[in-house]
Amino acid sequence: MSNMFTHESRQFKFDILVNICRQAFKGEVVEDDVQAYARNLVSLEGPRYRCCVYKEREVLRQRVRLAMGKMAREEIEPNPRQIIHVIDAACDGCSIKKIRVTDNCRKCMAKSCLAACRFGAIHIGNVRSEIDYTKCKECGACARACPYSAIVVTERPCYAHCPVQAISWDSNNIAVIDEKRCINCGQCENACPFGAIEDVSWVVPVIKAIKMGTEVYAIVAPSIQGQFENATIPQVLKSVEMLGFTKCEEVAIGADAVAEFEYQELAEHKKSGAPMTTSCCPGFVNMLKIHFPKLYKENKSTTVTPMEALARRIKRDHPDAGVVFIGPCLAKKQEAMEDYSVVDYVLTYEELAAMLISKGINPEEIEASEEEYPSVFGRNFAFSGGVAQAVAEAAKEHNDGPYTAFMANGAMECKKQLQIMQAGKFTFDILEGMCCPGGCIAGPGTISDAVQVKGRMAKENMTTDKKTIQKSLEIFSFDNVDMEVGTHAE
Amino acid sequence: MVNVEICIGSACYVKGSSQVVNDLNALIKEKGWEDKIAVKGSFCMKACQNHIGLGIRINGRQIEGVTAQNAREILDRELSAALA
Repeated sequence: MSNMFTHESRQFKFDILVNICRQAFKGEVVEDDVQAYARNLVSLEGPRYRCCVYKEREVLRQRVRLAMGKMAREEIEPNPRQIIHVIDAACDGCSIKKIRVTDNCRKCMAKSCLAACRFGAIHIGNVRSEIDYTKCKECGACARACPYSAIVVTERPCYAHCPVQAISWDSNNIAVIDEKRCINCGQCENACPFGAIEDVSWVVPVIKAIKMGTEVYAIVAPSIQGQFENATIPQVLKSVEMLGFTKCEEVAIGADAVAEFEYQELAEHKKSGAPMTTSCCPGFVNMLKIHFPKLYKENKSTTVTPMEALARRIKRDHPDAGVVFIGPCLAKKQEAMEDYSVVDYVLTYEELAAMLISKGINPEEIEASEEEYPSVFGRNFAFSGGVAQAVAEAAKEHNDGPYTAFMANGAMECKKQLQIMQAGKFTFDILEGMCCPGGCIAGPGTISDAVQVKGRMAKENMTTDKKTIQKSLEIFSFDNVDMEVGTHAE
Repeated sequence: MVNVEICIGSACYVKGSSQVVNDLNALIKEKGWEDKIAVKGSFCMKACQNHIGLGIRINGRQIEGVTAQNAREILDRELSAALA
């Protein structure tokens, strides 16, 4: 198998998924096989990423369990709402000291580090400066003062990328996720160089449902455009259907409806003077819900996400069918678990690619004809700025506006803007929040480079008929589809 | 023909409904019920929200209190009754 990812730990995870999919399509995936499977994939000859073959097998065993939709270890109580998990055997327990003196230190005469430290945490040791960690406040002043860059500020990648401080570590320095704080945004998973943080996968039950002949619809997120090299949207939809799904539809259809409804909501917000935050990024919504409950109540758009809108539209017409969302997002796996959600399963593009490879389907080679499609505005929900733009377009189509928007690009920026809003200093009408820097096209479940994807999207969308959101809603009617989130079940 | 529907939605899957499908297929084979029972996959039947255990319906009737551990026992009893 050729490498699809430049990141080796990511490739390893992917190879496991492909193997599981193959097994699931063939017959049953039985847990007892896991041990044998681990032996098979991790041989005594290597390659070796860890200290020994036994550790590697344990890491693999935990990975396989997560890929099968189970908790990493048997004794962990399953919590369906927690998607992101630490593979404790894979966690390297990396540096937890934020400030470190490296051997670049020349024990110079100036000793600017000593002078810079306001807490008396630095003393000069035998060979270099040393830090007394009981006094260090991790301010970084010493690092900035050193003319040799001998003092470095490092943070665990997982901790550094977590926007909500949900990551800590146990007495063995192994990362631990606080499930009460975690927003399932997946930034830590993206950041970990050891692949020690992973999401639960639902490929096995989805394949099982397909194999049992159950009616299952697949819906693909807007950012799927351009994920599979130069495969066009009709080719991708057809490829997904070839896996055994009843039908595959574009979530951009739901996005058009969301733009229309969020515009109407925005008009209400404008009247009352409360800025509105967008609802489509589930990581952002979780951030509001868990960490900014007041804003969640007063400012969050109560329109459902495009995924939910389209899933409800499908269930309106086919109440017994299942709906599987395929997207770039890990937090969507959690959104689907909310009581109000009618989505049955969520897969990532990575998991879709694993399914396609296991069945030998290459979307670029599939012949497909174009059917009715949504507006480009709906499709552009895929990247930062696209949602606010679509809402503005909906307003324009109603001869309303203009509205001002701020695009919070990335989880850290989202948090900052929410803090500003909480302080009453947010001056725009709309806050578009997207947890992944760049938007969904850079999500943790994507398989292609975000910049390339954006280019491919623009190229394909040039050839569309430039329809308006109104036109799209005439083709895809959302009559009798409840567009409100509804019960905020805790 | 007795119809058995088992929820293979995510919440039930996490709680072991996939194992129940395997157990049920084994049970059917053991008892020679292949021609009398049809097993179907289904999506959420709200068993999870109503806290009544795994989502399982026999001839459209929801069976309550099923877990991955007691599934075989309960299915054996309920199906024997349904077939009688």
